[in-house]
Amino acid sequence: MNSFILLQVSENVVRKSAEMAVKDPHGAIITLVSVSVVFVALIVLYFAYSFIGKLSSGKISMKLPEKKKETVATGVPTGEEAAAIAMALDQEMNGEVYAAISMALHQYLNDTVHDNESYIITIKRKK
Amino acid sequence: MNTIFESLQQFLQYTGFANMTLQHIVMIIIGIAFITVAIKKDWEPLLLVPIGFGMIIGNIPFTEGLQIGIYEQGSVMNILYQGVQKGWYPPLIFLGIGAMTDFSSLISQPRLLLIGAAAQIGIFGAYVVAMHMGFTPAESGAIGIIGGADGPTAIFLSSKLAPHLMGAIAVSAYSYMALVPVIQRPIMLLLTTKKERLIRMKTPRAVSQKEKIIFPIVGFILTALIVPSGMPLLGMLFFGNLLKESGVTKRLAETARGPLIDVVTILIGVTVGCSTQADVFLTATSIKIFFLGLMSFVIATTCGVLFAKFMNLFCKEGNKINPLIGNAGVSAVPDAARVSQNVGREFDKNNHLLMHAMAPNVAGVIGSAVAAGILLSFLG
Repeated sequence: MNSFILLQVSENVVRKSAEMAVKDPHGAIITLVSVSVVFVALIVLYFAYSFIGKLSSGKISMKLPEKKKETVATGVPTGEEAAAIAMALDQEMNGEVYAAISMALHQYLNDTVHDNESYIITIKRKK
Repeated sequence: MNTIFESLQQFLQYTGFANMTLQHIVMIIIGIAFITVAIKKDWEPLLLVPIGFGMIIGNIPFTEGLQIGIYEQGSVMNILYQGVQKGWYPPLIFLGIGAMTDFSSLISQPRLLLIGAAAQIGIFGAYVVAMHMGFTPAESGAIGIIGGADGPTAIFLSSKLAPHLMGAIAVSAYSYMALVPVIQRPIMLLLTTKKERLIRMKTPRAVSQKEKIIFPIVGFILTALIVPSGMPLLGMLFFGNLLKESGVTKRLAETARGPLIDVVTILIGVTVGCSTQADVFLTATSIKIFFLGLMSFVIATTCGVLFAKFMNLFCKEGNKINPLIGNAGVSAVPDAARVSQNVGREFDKNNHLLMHAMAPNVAGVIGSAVAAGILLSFLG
């Protein structure tokens, strides 16, 4: 049955394996280098994910250049604008509108903290 | 009348009964034992049932030339076995693993990646011993990878470095993966004090969707740039995870972690089992491989636990690591993490280590793929 066996090692593997057997007969060099590379690879990942995590949780912030800061700031109302908006809202809206805006803002701002939930709300009947 | 008798005699010579040897019977019994253990003990049933039945299929004796054996070119089993031989089943399994794994625990506690790295020392410990036992460097590398506790990686690497040993290596890797609770528990208890077993770890922080999406992209680019030879496994693992986390490829993610991985698991299990034909499998070499595989597992678990203790030397009080999660540095997901949870709860019923142990566990998957890539670049 062995005559049908197709399990052959490629020539490249045989050559490299023979070379390694001569260069590193005890396997110490390959072990040392390989363990170091595994650690380096995972340490690099550790630093990358730590950085991304800190960035995402706001522990560090990317400082934008001055010019960009101005463009970002244009989206935020100034003190006078905020006061004007507040007065206009006060005149035209009731408490329910405030509640809706607050809820929408709350959900929007918390988007980076929570995962997308299943959007299923369980409502229990009051006894 | 004579013709009928001769025909009958000729037919009888073709039957399995006429060609059965003691080795075939032994292998069939091992196959039945695999199935029994999987059903009775629930040990890795998704793998042991196909492998066990494959062993039975592969050890029904037949007459050569009928193109039915797994090693006969062009036979059905041989065509299915190409996925193992050419190494394209393992990356597909990694795609499914990526699509079903939640890496949140690792993203929120990246320091635990190092435990996954430490556990890979088992691979290289077995490599050195295998070299001293007379195996070639390529064979030693393929045998050592059993310590990664990752069946697909073991098959991937052995298909490239030592295809003639693949049956024994795959069966050994899957057997020990099924035996993770039996092998790891005593080592964990031996290497830890009661005080250490009671350490409560800080609850991991919540991870944002954005981080989960960035994780596979950054992870793949960095690891593949360091070890390009691990690209087939790492690429598919991280790609599968991106399908899961992107939120816009739900159908693809569901296929990858559902029907696709199921089909490939069936094919890989049956064909690997089938490849254990008695004349190829029942040799002294296989026994040596089983011994080295066990040793590799023991070293990996030991290094994982000891490294967690070592890390504690640099951790502030309140930020310590429970060394019982060190065993999870091997990539038997999620069995090794479950062992951490169960052993931890033996000493403190309210100490749930599962979520923490998942971090080194998934780091072990990445680590073993990186280790396989390194061995391939040296020897392949």
